[in-house]
Amino acid sequence: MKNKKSFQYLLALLFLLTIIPSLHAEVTATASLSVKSFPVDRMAKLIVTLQGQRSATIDMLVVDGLRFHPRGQSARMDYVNGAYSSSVTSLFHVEASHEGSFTIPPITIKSKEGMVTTLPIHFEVVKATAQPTVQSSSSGSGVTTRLRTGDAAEVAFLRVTPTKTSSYSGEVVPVQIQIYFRDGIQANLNSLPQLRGEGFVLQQLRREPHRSREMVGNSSYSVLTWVSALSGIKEGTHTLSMELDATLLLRQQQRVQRPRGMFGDPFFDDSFFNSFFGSYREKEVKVASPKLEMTVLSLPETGKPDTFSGAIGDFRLQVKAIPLEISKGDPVTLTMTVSGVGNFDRVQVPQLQKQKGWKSYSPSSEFLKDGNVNRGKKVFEQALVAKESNLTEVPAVAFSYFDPESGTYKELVSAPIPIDMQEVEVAEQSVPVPRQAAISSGKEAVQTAPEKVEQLLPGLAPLQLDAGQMNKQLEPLFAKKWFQVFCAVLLLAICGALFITIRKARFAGNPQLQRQKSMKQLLEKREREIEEHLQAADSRGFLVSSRTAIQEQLGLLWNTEAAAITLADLQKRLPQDSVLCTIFNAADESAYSGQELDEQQMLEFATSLKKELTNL
Amino acid sequence: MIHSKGYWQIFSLFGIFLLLGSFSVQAADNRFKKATIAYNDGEYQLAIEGFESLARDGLSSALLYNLANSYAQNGQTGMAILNYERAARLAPGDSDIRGNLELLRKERTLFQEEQTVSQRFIRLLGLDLWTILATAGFILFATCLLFPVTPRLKTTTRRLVAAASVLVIMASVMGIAGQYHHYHDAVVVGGDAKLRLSPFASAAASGSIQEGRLLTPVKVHNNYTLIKDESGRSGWLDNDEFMFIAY
Repeated sequence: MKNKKSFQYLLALLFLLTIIPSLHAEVTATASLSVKSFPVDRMAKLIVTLQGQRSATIDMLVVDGLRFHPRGQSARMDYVNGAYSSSVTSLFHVEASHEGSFTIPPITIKSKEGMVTTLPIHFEVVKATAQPTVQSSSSGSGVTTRLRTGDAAEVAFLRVTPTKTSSYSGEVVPVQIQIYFRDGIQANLNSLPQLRGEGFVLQQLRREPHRSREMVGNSSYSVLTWVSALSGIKEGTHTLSMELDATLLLRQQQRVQRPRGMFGDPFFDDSFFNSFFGSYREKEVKVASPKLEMTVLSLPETGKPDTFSGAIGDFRLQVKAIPLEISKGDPVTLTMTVSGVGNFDRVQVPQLQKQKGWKSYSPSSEFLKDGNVNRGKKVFEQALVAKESNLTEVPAVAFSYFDPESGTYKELVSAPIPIDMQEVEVAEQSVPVPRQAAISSGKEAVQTAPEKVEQLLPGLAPLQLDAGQMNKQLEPLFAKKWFQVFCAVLLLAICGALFITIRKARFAGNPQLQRQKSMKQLLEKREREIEEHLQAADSRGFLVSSRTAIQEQLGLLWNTEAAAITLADLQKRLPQDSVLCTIFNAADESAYSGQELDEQQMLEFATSLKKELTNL
Repeated sequence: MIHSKGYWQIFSLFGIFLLLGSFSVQAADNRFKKATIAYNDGEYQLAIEGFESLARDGLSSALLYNLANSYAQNGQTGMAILNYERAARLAPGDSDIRGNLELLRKERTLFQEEQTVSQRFIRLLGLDLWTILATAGFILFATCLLFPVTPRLKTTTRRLVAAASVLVIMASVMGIAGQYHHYHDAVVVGGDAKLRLSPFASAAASGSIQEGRLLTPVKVHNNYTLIKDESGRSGWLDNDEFMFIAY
């Protein structure tokens, strides 16, 4: 523990030893301009660096014909090979009002160590370059600016390049869509390029375009490229264009958009400086492509094959079948591959030239793209079942398409595929499964004389053998009488239980009710005893029970111990003429003197006692 | 003696009833078997007649399923789907019914709209099973709160079980509501059913509706019913062109 603390002190000391010399390091100031010469319509970067300090104040420069735009200040601390250094850098954009030679005088910088000055800087301002032609006609909203393209000097433009401008209806025309942003322009795309105009549809674009850089004229551009396809749906000549919504990040004080790369200083092309020193505002723009004339031709009617399904392009057909050794009733999978270039969405399954002796099923299809938008192959798989035993070949299939290059229809016909039909012994083929034996968990295999039964839907699960329990009608459970009665009984039971529970809860929380119940129960018990003593003409027992009854009832009522209640308590708390006092007194006298009551007195006492105690 | 005679008469009567009942069941079994054999022999019309005559006496999922199979093989898609749907109401979990129904729909290109998660949830169970589940949940809920079954069952546990029961009840009520919403659905059985703009024979047709399509009746006017199909299309349809699944 002690060692650890010592080590920390040692490190701190070393750090201080390295820092202290730097505090007394020499303070120097330098100023540099990014270029020695620049056009009057552009700006140069002035960088003022103060070495040896971490803060500085620079007096604003005033030079005739020049404007200085402060762009921020950054401090930097380095620790290299044990040497600590600090610096502070300020950035200015320098703008000239006219051509000519200029000199930036020595710049005075105030720091904690005093004042330092830089050396003067000489530079030339030359004639303006060609002005960019940004067509910024408002689109009406006043917020979004429309950038119509074609001019390489623009900030951003959209270029649409179809492979051809004349196509047939339904033909797929590959198209390249490119959006150009001049280097230095930061932009966010708010939408994918959208087709404007009628008569064509554009295939769905990928969300992630290909990114590249390209030189157009003397400017470098970032290019986003989508490769898609246009498909004509309406015959005639149509005017098309494309639009794209974007947000450009523009410098606040610039008159026109200027690329940051114009300074020719790769250091300041760094995104850190761009974001650190830059002062930007967002501008919503709609970039539109030049208008494009495209013609959609109608397909010729002459020579159109019956099997033509609308496929346009250049296709090849490959057909194979497996297995080639089959028996009657066996399925053969026919795989037909249509490959090439064209509108695969209209490529339908090739047609069997002959169907006799075969039963065909609905085919499945899968399109496998080959990189390009309109190139690939479509694979169809169709099941065929041999219905006859004398078949020798899988029939030929035909596929027709329109070739836009030659302007004619073409039909591809595959060669028939020879097959080897094997004889199957009748015994193996048509032995019907006995119905009783075929019963398995209520299902019956439908195999009786399969060669005679032509099923429309052979894939259906077999019939059920057991009819099961019959219902009179298809009514839901809740509509059935017994269920309704059951629910009613259930509800009544629950209501009853709820009533009892509530009553119990009320009783549990009410001491008065509990006391009344206890009093009632005790009174009933004593009444029975009194009745027994009365019948046995047992005067002493009668009086003892009567006194106990009085004590119990009054004890519960007065919330005192029943056995502790005496005649004095009764006389004190009950009216003087109370029968209870008389009976209690008689009971006491009987206990101490052995005085007994006659039958008539006992009866009177019993009646009065019951009445009084009930009314308590 | 008189008593023994009376008993004998009662027993005889009971025996006669049992005998008649067994004859009736045997006769129904024979008709069912005959219809099944007709189906296996490819005599689908005969099989339909046999199963239909049995269906007039009573219904079961197996009978409706066999009837549906017969209709399907006979090319009567609408009637086949109608009977598969009816069979599915009696036995919602039967894989053969569901499988054949799906196959038939696929073969006849009667593709259904993709179901949402809630629709799939509702179709997890049939109307009756949802009802049973709701009832069971209700009984459990009431039992937990009203009858402390054992003193050892803590109040917290009972409340948790009660809360779970409430969830079951809520889910079941959702299931019941969803199933009941489609309880009065119907199936197009006419081969060339036309949707009309108004409920009159002279009204212009707004389109045709495929045989076997499910539809929901909205209101009735004379011999026409305003219906809405699975894709949301609506129009007036002749009452003879469709049949209700429930009857």
